Amino acid sequence: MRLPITILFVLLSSTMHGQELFPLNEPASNVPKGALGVRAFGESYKEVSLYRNLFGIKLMYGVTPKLSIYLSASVSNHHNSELPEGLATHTHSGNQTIYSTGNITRGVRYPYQFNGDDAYIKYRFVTVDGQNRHFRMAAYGEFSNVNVAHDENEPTLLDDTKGYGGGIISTYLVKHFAASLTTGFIIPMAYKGYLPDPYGGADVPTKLVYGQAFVYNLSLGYLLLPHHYKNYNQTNWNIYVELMGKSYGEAKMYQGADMASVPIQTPLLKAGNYVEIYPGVQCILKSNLRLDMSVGFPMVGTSYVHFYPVYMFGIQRYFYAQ
Amino acid sequence: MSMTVFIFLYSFAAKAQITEVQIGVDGLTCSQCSRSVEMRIRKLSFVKDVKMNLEHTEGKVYFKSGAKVEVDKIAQAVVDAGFSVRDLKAAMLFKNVAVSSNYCFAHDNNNYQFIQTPGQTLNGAVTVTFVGKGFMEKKELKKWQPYMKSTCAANGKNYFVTIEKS
Repeated sequence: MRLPITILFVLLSSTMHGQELFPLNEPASNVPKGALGVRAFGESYKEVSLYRNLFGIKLMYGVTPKLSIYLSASVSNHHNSELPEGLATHTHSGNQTIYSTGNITRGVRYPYQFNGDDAYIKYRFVTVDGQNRHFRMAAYGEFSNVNVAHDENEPTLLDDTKGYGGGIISTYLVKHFAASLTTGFIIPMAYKGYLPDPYGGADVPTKLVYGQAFVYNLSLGYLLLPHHYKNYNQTNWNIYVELMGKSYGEAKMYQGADMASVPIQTPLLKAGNYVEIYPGVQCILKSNLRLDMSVGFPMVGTSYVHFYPVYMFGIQRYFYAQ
Repeated sequence: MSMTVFIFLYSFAAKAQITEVQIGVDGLTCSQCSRSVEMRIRKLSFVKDVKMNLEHTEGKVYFKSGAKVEVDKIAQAVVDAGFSVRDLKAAMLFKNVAVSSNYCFAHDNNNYQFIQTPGQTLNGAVTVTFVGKGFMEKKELKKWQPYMKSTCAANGKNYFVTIEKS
């Protein structure tokens, strides 16, 4: 944990320019007008004895200098085709049946499946540019069309949950320092599916309403190499530290023909909040082909949707229409 | 306008040309961003070559022979790439032209008006600085606004230019 902070302080004494091509967070800056960006990305972590992976592709287009649109899609082995059997359980007390949420077994092998797609739009509304510096602010909105049997409460667009997101990005960049703050929200939509009946009866209709979330992410970045820009063929090395925070409310679960409320008891479906830290490194070849890698660890609290460390990969380039 | 001046302007218009533009770009911090600016400028039909100086975040733009140079389109290309113009200077060829403040000349159907320029005779390649919205930082623009009063003919685009004291 201390290492990335130490590296940052060492770099404060250098005379390099900041970098805002953050591996995980979008900066307030946009895709150049008319340019098409293509990004392939992946996420991987070990859950018990197997690896959970997500692969995605993102197309980015600069509609105007201030307005960019992104379309993404992903596949993963994060979910089963239906909700896990143990998600709801019941006990008997006399002739009363008491329903509650149950614990889910971790490390169960699921098939790879298409999660869905996501549309994201970003508009830059503040631009204060100077030589080798800028301050910019942008607003973003997104809709994730995902319909998977996500069995945890934390909403994650494009991967786990259908729903809306939006927020504000502020990016400040001055010679030695690049920083960006993203504050936003996620309003997930419910998943409607079936739970297998443990006694061999018909599958039980189930509705899972995920908690709404606030997100707060902070990204810091530095250019390590080259010391002096000479031409576009110099390989750029950038290092980053990104803090990813999320705070979300408790889930609601309904079951049966009458959609009766099931009391939430498992931690996976309770309200939660956490901050993760992702040190990252990036290399840019020929000023266009960008390769990112970062590794995530818990800093405050913990996320229930993945195990640690989380490995994130990305490869991206822009195509300029002629 | 007397016939002499008319002939003079005509002969000037035939010989004057913008040979090179140097553009300072604000907000640039990475080589990928610099490349985006270059790619946008290169798309302009009259541009022959662009050389970006990443260290000083500025670019030099060279033109196709005989092509009509549209300076505002170069500035717009910088904005389209997502950045701002810090300053825009052009190397222009003159042949014994006596200029002073509010002196106007037409070239390629655009009007160029000198402002805040002491009386002098220009001969050979002279660096002129473009003045106006989109050609300079906002605080710099405010200083110039009182002098930006067009006295040129209404046809074509009007550009304000000045010659910085050397």
